[in-house]
Amino acid sequence: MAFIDYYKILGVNKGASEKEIKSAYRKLARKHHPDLNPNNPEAEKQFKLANEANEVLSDPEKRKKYDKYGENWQHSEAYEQQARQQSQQRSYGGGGGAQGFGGFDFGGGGGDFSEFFNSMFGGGPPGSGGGRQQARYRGQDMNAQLQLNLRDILESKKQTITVNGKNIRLTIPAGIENGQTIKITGHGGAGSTGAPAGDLYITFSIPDDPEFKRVGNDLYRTIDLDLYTAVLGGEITADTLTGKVKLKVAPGTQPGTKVKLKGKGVPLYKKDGQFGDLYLTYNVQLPATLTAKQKELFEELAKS
Amino acid sequence: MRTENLITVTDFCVYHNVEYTFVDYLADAGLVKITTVNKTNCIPVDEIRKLEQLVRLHNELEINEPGIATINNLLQKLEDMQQEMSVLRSKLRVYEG
Repeated sequence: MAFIDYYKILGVNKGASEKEIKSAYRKLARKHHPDLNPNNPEAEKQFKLANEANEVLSDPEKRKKYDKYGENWQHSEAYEQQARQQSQQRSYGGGGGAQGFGGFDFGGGGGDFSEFFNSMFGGGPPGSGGGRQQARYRGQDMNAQLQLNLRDILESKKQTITVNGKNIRLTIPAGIENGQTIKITGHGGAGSTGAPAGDLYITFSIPDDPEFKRVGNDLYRTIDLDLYTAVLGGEITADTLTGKVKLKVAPGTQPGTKVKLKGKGVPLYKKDGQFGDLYLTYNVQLPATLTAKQKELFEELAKS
Repeated sequence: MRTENLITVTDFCVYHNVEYTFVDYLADAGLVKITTVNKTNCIPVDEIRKLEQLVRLHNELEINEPGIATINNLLQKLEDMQQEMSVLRSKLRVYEG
């Protein structure tokens, strides 16, 4: 069998990137796929060739060997072993001459290589041997959705989820955002005939919290403040996502006043120890009903 | 009594690693026939070959559902034309002796 130029088959040059190879292969696969070309043996042949080329050129190890040894790429290790043996014999002064390898000439100097090649590929890569062989395809990418609440994202945590009957353990990084997707490599659908599995994409859904509004890494909350504390000042206790904090309220605090609690927001995604801020807005509450005494005092205040 | 060989959509999806919604879309688009038995959606076995072909297009060539519907339509035309061409060739042979 003559040397097969896989680069030529895919229509790319020798320095083509992985992306270029993938793109060229996909283009050919779409053109020659047997399902798209019913009753067309030529298309099937081209499809098999494209598969074979892709199998070699999309695998860095195989491509390296192919580039180095051309048509003998699958036997490069044996060739290297032979070379090592020859080198060893020379260093020991054996002088017995170079050993042949299995009766085949790897130097390309006239050995009948094609028979060897055919026999080696009989059960090898797709499309090169006799009979119908299955194409090798990466598994399908899969998508899943995971719902969390705001309190779940305060620290990174490990969680086991079940997707299509498989348990997958993953680490959910603190500070992950609503709608953000993370990729779990190799946990998608299984690849065919030994090809790698697809990836699993998990999209996080974090519904709005009834108390805290999240904007980026900052949180916003409105808290009630009684009139007397607002007017006279004092100390109050406010809830944050991580617990209660004591706050001093300045005398004469106006309704709608905002205070910032530094570092009491949401952790920054994949930035350990960094947090957003919590902004509290005071909602000063006026007394709805007054006792006679209170009314009297307010009237006095009004006169003063 | 007439019996029909059926495979549940769920079993098919698990075996072929495709989303249920994918088969659902193809059924909605009229590309495959789905029957419901005891509230379970099933695929008649004579539809499986066709469905597997569509799954291959989806998985191997990354073609989305609307693309598959279009391709299926064009493939049908192609096969019809191939058949017509074959009939015409046979007739031509008769005339050419």
